[in-house]
Amino acid sequence: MTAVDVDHARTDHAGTDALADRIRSLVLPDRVHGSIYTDPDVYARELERIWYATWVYVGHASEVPEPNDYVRKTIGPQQVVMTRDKTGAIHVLHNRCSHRGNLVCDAERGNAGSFRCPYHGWTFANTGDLLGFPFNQGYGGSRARAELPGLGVVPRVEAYRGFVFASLAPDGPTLREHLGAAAERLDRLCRLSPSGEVELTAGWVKHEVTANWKMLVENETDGYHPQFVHSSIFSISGSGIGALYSDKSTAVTRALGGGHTENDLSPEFRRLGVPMGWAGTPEAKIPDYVAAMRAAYGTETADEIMIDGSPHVMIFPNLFVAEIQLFQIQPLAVDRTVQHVTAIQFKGAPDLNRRLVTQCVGSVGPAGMLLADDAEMYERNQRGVAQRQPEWLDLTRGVHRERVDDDGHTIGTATDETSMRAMWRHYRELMT
Amino acid sequence: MEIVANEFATVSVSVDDRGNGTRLRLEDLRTGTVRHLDALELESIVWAPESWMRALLDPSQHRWRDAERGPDQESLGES
Repeated sequence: MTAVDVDHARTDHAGTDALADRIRSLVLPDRVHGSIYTDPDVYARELERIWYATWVYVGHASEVPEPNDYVRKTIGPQQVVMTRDKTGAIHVLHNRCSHRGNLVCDAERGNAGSFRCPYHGWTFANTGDLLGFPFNQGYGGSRARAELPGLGVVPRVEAYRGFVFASLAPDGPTLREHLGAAAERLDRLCRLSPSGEVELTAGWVKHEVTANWKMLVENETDGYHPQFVHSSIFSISGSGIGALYSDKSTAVTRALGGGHTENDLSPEFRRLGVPMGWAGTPEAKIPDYVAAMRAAYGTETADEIMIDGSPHVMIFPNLFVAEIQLFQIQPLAVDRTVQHVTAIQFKGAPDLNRRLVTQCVGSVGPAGMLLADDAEMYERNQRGVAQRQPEWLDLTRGVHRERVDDDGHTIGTATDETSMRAMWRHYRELMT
Repeated sequence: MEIVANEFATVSVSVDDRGNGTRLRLEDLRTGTVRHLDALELESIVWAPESWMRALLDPSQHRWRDAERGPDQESLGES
């Protein structure tokens, strides 16, 4: 079939890329223009150049543990189904019947080797193959099956440490190239499990905000806001995390390349030297976990792992690991975004996992305080940038004190906007 | 009785021992249609090639086959 170019925003009638020129003028090294968050043409290009072109996090292998398990997932506004076939291979399929375009799967998750569209009964294998359809004489018999299309198959699907990413583009960098230094942050997360594996089995909260998706990406590693926006939950919970986001902190904000960024609090956790201090959980409350970690890694290494803690990393454009919880960012429109949130679970750590779920209920559950704090800021921010003056958002915090670490990454202090500048640099490359 | 269900079908499964031996009783709960499977039929399903199972999932092969082919026509595996 002939592909139809629907990216009307790509070029104007003269054949020049006026939108690219405009985006170059809106995204500068030290500031961005407010319209970058509100312009529907910019959003349309983001879908084509970022969400439908680069690697996007889709789901975790632990969400489809058994053959023929499936879960509904998203790639931006696109509805997809992540399946594990009979042989154990993972596929990502477009959730759209090849007959009349109906959604084929409705349940959030299930177990099925084949899917039957409820509209006219077209039936597909969980690999996307068309298995058949009712009353096939209308198509000249079952031989027509070979001529008719199956479900759309997302062309590239790869996993790293169980984290499944997909790209709608048939060609491009490998997932490992895309992740770059961010891969090591997923390693850091996984080694907190005595078996080296993370499981996303705690269930999901979907939290929709009336805000542009980039507000969320920027905020995830903005170390300047926690002491203001989250002061109430820090004070109620007695958490010491807030104090780590200050100019006195040895924590750093780091640009990992590829638009990926992190707040690295491990220097502070090492200075404090308390195993599981990062999780606010004394060893005595999780004896089975601590014992399992020491048995798996040896006491010295296990204690280092438990002191260093979990990463706080934003993997562009949509996977955010915030120590104990995982966010998947999904844009629905230029001013509508869903955060899919779950408590991270470590395989082989039931006592720790119970506490992590409880903590996440308090932070990002339906009545959680942390996510609600941020959501309020996102929505206020979206309304704010629609105002006419001043037109620009400032990105200069800490630009004079940025430096390069031993690994060649640009770093700033815990509260500097190093991460935002890095994200926008990458965004500008992709969009123009 | 157990229910095996997903969003595409709902079937009850039970072991029927009213006869001289046991057999499996399957009921499509959306239509009430029942099929019994004895041990040898079940063993054959276990050993059936994957292509046979894929063919079985083609709706035109059974429930939604064209009327002119006749209600009793065995169609599986052919067009």
